[in-house]
Amino acid sequence: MLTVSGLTTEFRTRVSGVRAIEDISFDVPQGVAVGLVGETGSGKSVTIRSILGLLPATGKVIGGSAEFDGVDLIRANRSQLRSIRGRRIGFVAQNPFGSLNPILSIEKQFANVIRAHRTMSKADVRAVALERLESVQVRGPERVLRGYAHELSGGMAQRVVIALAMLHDPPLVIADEPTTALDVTVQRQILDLIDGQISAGNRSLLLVTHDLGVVAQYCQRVVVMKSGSVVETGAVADVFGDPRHPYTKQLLAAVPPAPWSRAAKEVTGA
Amino acid sequence: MTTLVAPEARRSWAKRHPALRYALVRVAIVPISLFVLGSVSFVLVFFIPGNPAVTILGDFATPEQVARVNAQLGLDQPLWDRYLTYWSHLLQGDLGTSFFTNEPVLSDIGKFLPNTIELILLSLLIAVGLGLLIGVTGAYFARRWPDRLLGGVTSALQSVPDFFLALVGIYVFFFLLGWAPAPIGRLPIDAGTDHPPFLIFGSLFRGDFSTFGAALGHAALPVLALGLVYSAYFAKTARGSMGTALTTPQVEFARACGLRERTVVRYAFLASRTTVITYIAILFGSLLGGASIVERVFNWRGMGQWALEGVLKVDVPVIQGFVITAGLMTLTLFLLLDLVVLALDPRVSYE
Repeated sequence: MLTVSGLTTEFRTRVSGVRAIEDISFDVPQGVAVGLVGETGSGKSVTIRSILGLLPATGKVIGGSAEFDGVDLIRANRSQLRSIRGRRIGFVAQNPFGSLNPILSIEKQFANVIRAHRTMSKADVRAVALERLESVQVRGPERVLRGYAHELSGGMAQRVVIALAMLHDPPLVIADEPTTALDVTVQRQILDLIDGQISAGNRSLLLVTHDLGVVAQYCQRVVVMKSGSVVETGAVADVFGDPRHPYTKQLLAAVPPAPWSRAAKEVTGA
Repeated sequence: MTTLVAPEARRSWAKRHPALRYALVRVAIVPISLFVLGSVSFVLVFFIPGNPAVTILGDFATPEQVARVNAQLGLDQPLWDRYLTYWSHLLQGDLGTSFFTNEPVLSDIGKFLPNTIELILLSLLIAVGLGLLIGVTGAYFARRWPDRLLGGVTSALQSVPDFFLALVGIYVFFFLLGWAPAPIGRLPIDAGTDHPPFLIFGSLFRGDFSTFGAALGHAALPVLALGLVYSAYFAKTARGSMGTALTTPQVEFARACGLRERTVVRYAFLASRTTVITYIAILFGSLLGGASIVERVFNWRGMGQWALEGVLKVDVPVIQGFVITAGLMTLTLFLLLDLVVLALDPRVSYE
């Protein structure tokens, strides 16, 4: 489905180039959820932005490829890339209030994303938007559609973003820490929602996160990154059950124990 | 952030319509601003060096003559009495008469303000159009060669004083090339200086195209001089706000959804429109007096030129009239600006 190989990206500074990621290679097979994990600054975000062609002006992919649908996204021209983004690859960003346009009604934003890839009448846009909002369990979809992003709660806003990202039923979804900006209480709901949408359509997911628990629960494969390189990759059960790389071991050891287990230890004095 | 809505009946109208309440408070502040403005314009005059009586009579006047003129002008009254008289005249719309021309200040303003407004509006048209073009292009090609080139041009333009550009324009386009008319005012010399207010807009509206053409020709150089210099300020602002708008997660998400670049740029522009509108209002306010030297260079007979001559002669009523008119226009403009910004942005609720 998506094959990344040897991806290397540099950021230009006044004096020289700084290599943000180097020789990144991994696969996202059809129907599989892949977790991309690593600490802050390990290059997860740069990796997905390199793939999607969303690097800031100072960043540039200087080597490698990202094959998707038989197209190398790195070398694709602007119109090729545009026709893939949103239609074949959906993107869910970290902060829903950053993603949504604050001055457009939600309905207008649905219309924009739909019409980026096909023509559709206003009435049909509305019908599709309502149906999609219902499928992501947004309460009162009519009212949400009329309203604006700032009237929504964080969880509801991220549901709207997911509905927008999935509008064209893309076979691959890339989610960049989709729950980091949300309340702990809704994180799980959002992940369940993404998971449900992915498995329902036998789609692929590339889930960027620093939460190993999330990867263990929602992903089948994992790619571990550190300082701009991939240090370990494989099936989640293998990597977490028997980590080869010392960094992966460190990461796993850094996961705090569940609070009830600690409380239980204190009670029993163990 | 909550989607829960409290029972409406329990909330006062002001809580339910924070925007309306803000607008009303904003309008209610206007009389206070006007009082401060009027008082400032009264006090301001005492900070201007020079004695009007001496300026009128010349340096060889005797103390008796100075005292007599001071009495005529009412300058010998106690300050408090003068302040009260000033306000009672002001409230009746009487801005006094010029010490030197004996023209009522209000009729002078009626004559000169339309000239300045025409100059400012046309200059702003150039400044906004060109500035936005430069700024948006620069922001779109951030840190690449078009951005660097335009940034250089902008800095160069910004460092040239408007009157200097005007003088260069006169030298090149009037003196050397003969393309532009002489800098002698708003119309050719045989048309005289008496013309209806709003010469350009008025003649266009009446369909008087020969006057319109002549007036436009005379306006070309001053408008270009001001427009070019202020387009640099505009370009910098537009480059900044568009540059920020184009690097937001919102733009990234729009691109990731496959929206066309045209659409993405349009929304980024809409997101930064309040900055642009605010800057238009600020430039309008500053050009009311800021265009004075260019007005003088072209003998434009505008407010700035009139006020400048008033200041040089310590013509107190003229200075006060200018401060009050410019202040009043700026206050009105900023009030409108705040209300427009309020109406444009669904996020603004001013709670």
